[in-house]
Amino acid sequence: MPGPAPNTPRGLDRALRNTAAMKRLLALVGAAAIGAWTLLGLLAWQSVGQRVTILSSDAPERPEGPSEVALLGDRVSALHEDVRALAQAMGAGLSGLHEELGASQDEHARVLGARMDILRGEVSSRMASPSPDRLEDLLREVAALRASLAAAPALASAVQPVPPPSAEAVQVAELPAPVAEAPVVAAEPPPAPAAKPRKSFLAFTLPSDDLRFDERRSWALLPALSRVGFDAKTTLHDFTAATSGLEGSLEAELARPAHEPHARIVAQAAQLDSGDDARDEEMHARLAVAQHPTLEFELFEFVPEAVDAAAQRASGIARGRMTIRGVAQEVAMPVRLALDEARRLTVEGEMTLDLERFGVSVPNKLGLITMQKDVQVWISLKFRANPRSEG
Amino acid sequence: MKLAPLLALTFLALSTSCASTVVAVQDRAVRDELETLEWRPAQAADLVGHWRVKRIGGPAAAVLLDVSYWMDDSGRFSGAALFAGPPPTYEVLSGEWSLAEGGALQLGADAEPAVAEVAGAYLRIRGTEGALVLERAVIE
Repeated sequence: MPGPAPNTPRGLDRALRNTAAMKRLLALVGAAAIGAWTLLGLLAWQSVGQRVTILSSDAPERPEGPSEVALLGDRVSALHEDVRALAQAMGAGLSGLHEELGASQDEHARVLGARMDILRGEVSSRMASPSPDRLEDLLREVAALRASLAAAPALASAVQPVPPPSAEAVQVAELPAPVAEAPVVAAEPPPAPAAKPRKSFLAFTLPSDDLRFDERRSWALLPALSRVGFDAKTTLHDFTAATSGLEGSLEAELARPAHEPHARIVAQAAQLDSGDDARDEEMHARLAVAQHPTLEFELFEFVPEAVDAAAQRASGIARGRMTIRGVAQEVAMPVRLALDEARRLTVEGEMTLDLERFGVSVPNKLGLITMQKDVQVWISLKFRANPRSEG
Repeated sequence: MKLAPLLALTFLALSTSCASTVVAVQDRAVRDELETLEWRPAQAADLVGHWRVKRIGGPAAAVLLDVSYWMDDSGRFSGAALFAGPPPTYEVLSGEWSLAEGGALQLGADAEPAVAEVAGAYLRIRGTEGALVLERAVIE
């Protein structure tokens, strides 16, 4: 009899039973595989844990090199050398300071000793018949010197031991009892309390500044306070012609007037006035004021003879070029310079001038009235200092 | 006999017309008219007005180039001063002025008293730092 066909219900049942068995088998195999995998994982974990050591550190990685101990040793050596050099330098500095302080103190002691010598001489010379007032003054001076002596070592003692005072100082310090018991007068009065700054009488606060003789300044001529002229001699009578029709400037360091002085004075020839119209008319004609309206002097050298910067005075020879009637000639005029109370510079001087050197003919009326060709030229000038330029 | 009087008259005429007019050495400098003024102590009424400096003397002359004041009759004043610098710079201020007996002028509360004197159109103010001569300013 043939077997049942697979597609029969009996074959189907068998196939289904086989399929179920297969599923169980596969499940068992899967479970076994998971177990084996887990076991292998545990074994691997244990093995890695035994062979690997993990270190944790915050220190940065360092390159290979000398050991830290060696480096530290080098640093300590370098620091040692630095300290030694510093100590040597400080020693030299302190030694210099010590010597300077010693010299200063010696000088101070020498000065005090000299003052005490003088004082002792005065005391001994007046001991025979001492005036009460004078004696009291001397006692005060001695006390002041003692106080000064006491103060001087105190200043230096912060740095070095105080050397013993000189024998002379000791001798003076050990004066008789009245002197030793004299009231001590302070060498320096206590400083006064700072007063509130007060404005000047003009209501403005004036800066503390003044004209200095040893400063190079430029000055402007003050025509209203200046005059130049000449004195002439004639057979009839002598006369003076002068003018304030001036302009000019000056630049110099008055304490060193020879150091590159510059000055230029210009006078209006037509303003020369002698007090006589007819004479003035002839004078202007002879000076050809229409063609040469100015008389000029330009300074190119100053030869000082005396300079007193403290008194703000100077004198010397002003050498320059004088131009009259268009003719220029070198001249030399002795002059005096001084500052007045209004801080103006006064310049005065005079010289003899031969008019014919400048092509100026002198009047001659029929040989009876003649004028000498040599005239006495003089200047009386005032200058005001120009403001200082910036820089 | 008639010649003698004639000669005498001629000599007299020549001597007067031929007198020397040479300026003495001490008179060569310009005569400063401000130094010839006769100053009197100022009174309050003298000070009212507009003043402009004519001359600066003493230490103030080294630092000041110009000074002007306006003073009114109510006791107020305003001033301007040009300081030498550098650079030259004007400063202005205002305040109250007062004048005591004898011409003691006080320009502001904290200023040093000054001596105020007048002569014609000029006002002179003197203090320890100098002296100023001012003239009445007339603006044309």
